[in-house]
Amino acid sequence: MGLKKLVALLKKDGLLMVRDWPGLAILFIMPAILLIVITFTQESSIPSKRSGMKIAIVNDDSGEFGINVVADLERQGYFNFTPLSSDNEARESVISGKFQMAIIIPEDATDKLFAALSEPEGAKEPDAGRSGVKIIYDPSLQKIFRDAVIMPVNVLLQLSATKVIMTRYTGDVNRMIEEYKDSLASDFSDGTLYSEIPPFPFRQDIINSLNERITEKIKGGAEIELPADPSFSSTLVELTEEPVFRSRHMPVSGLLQNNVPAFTLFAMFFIVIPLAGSIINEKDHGISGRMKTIPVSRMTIALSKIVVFIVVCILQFIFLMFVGKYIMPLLGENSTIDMRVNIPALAAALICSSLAAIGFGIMVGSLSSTHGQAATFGSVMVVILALLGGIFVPVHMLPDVIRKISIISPLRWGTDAFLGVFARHEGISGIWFQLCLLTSFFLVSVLVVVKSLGRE
Amino acid sequence: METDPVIEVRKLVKRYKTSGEEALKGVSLDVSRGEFLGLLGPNSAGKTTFTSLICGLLRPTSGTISVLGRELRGDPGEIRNRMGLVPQEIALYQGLTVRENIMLFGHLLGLHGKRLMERADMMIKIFNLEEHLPKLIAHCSGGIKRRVNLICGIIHDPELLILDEPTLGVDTQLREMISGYLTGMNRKGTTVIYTTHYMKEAELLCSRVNIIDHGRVIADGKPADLISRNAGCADLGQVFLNLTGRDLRD
Repeated sequence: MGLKKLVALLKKDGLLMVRDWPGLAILFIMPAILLIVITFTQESSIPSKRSGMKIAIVNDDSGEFGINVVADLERQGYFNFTPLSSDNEARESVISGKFQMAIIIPEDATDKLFAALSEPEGAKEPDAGRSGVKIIYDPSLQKIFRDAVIMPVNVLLQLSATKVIMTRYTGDVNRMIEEYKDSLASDFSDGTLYSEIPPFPFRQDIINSLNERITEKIKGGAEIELPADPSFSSTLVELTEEPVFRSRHMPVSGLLQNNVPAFTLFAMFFIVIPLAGSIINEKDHGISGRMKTIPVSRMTIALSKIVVFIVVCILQFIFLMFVGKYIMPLLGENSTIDMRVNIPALAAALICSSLAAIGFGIMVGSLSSTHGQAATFGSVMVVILALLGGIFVPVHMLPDVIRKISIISPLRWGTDAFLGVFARHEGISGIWFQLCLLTSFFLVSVLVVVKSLGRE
Repeated sequence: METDPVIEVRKLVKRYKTSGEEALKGVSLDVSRGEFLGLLGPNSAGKTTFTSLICGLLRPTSGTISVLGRELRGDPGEIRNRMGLVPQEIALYQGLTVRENIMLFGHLLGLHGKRLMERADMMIKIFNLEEHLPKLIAHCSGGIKRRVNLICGIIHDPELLILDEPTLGVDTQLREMISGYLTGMNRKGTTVIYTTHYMKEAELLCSRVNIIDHGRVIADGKPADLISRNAGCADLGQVFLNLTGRDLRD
């Protein structure tokens, strides 16, 4: 009897589950999307060839060093390097965000490398003559990602320099040995070397034996042994780092400078839950029907929700700023937040991002039938859009295919706008495109809702 | 009682796009100013569709509707402040208190300042809500919710009032109170359209009754006239069953 009741209940629960196809879609499709996006994101957590990190290389040096460095960088297979023609082109590309870093080899790098080597030891500071290779970078690029590139590049530069030096000097030494070998051999053969040795029994046998051994030794050539440990007590190539930016003062780059605006954006989009919830409440309780018979325009009704949630978004930003500036240092975080940003640009980015978040919430609330659907779909979508948008891992670190998909994510547009404000100190003109996208998303969302809920 | 029509409906047809079902099949009727019209009918007869159309919540498939002298082609527009709707559902904000809901809807219905305070206080007193004002609607009993639901539809003293089963699930005392108040409003000139399943209520309150079935008006007249016209029927309930049959509906 108990089993029959259990079967009846199983049938009930099974039917309810199967008939809730939106819920099923959330259970299967959402995790699949998360799996794909998170896997790619995890792979991108360190810079690599697979990640989207773009690094340019400018070689102004026509000598062996510049040529070797470019060849070695292209051969290493760990990063993608794109050759550019000039220092100016590289700077503009990094400032505009087309590349995250650029390596610049100056035109006299090879000459300076050998000039520094020929100076007497301790004569003057070796740095003065060293070929200064420069790495320029976008200040919004977090230090951890920057160091992941600079460190291996630095080692590669030192090895390239070593190889160039050894190739040249090994050649010189071998030439010297060949010349010496020839003159030594002739000294042996005409007896010049042994002329001063007085006659004694077996004199000629000993001389012949010595000749053989010395000749064999000379034939073997000089073997130059490299030290087993390739670490350097001093560097051959000085690598300098330089951030490039348009603003008057150098933007602060650090985890908090990037993360606080990014996670503010993430938090904003979570207003989908209360906003969609309030819309569904009004539908469920007949309030939306009542509102249609009351002399209040839909614009006014919508505006009240928009204003309230814009205020919530601004408060979220202020709160997270407070956490970043005052609470994080207490927990041991060393990086700081630089608020010397363009205030109109910041305000525009905040408002447009809020509008996009509100549009998303209105769309989810209007198109969902139940609170459960809205909450689950809304929150999972926000996580996916955040992953695509570069909230957890910077966009330029994501693989190409994911980066291309990310252009549809409103969180990507918001992150780009906030990074422009916080990391590159851009004004409104620098982020106008993102602002337009965010505002358009809001307008399109509202249009979708109006069309789909058009009265019978 | 003035006889100029407050509502004029001609050959009203409503077909739902999603189901293809024709809920109204050419209904024509007039409602005069000051009438208390009862709209009766079995489930799925078309009553709610009809009231939704005259409120402007739905668009007719064909036919014309004129409400308070204005032809409705869609959004009721400015006549919304002259009409009131009391829906069957408790259409209140659960997260607001009794007072907050009343004040909100009063504001939205065009009342402000002193006028709003007077009307609100009067309604609260009539319906004995003083001690319940600070309670959230979510924490109120069904009877209190019904009273507040009613107040939020009538606080602005509309010319035309549409009520969809306003006494559903309430006790006899509250039903008496609501009936009494609505009768008073009607005497002062408010035109009332009242849907209900309680035949006795309709018989006592309504000056005229329309019975709708299968999307058509099958009876129209004063309750007493309908009873006398239908031989063997002692009350409106029997008239209703006589005209609509005893088969169960959807």
